[in-house]
Amino acid sequence: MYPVQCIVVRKDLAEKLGAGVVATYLGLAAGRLFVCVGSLMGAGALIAGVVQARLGAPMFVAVVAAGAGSALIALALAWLLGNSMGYRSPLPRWALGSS
Amino acid sequence: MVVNNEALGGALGFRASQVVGNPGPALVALLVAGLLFTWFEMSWLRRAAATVKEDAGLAASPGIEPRFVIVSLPTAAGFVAGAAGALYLHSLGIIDPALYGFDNSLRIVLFALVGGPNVFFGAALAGAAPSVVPEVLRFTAAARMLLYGGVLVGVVLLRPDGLLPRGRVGLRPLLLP
Repeated sequence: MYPVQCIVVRKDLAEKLGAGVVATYLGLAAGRLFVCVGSLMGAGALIAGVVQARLGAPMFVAVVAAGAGSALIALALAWLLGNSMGYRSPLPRWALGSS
Repeated sequence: MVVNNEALGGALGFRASQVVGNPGPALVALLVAGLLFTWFEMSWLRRAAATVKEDAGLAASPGIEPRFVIVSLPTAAGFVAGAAGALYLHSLGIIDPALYGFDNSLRIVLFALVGGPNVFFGAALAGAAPSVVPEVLRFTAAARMLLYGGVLVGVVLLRPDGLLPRGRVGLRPLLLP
């Protein structure tokens, strides 16, 4: 549906944090919808690992929590990416770059 | 510094507290995802997304809220990706940044595109390829990313709807008159 662009710089940093936020910002700057399956999967894996290891939750709960956490990240990205998706983004124009 | 953070497992990586050897949970998740996608295919949301894709401004005239459609679909995709990551963790037992890097992302997106990005069955069938194809193409280890890039360009140019175009397969013809 949209251009898919995946730019990962310092992927170890971005993905170990589990958010892919650093890489995503580069996608924002490129003015494209940024879809990085790996970053969202990494975020989900990290959330599931933390939920299980720290809270002792069963696997089903960990998977649902991972999905919910990644969905929140994707929601935030989609909201921030407004300009390139057809509506006004809350971010300043300079942060989105030319699209 | 972050990679060696003790809270994230340090240099050894973050280990899962539970490793599942059988594919049962993944198959159950695939079934649930299939049911959800089948519902989506027949829902008003699918038609709204198609309309917004054509023209967001025009889609607003009959009452479709483009922002809701545009934001909700990546959110749902994020849920599926996160759940897939969690299942991958339970299958593998460890979180390694390299496993969730650019190579894997490109491979997953590539096989989804080859299978058919608009058809759940195409993407699901193609989803098995990332675990099989590297073994078959073991002799191309050095040039594998080049090969993937060539396949991606070829699919986008020659078969933009993938190997299984929309409307050829699926439950829709069986469930709807």
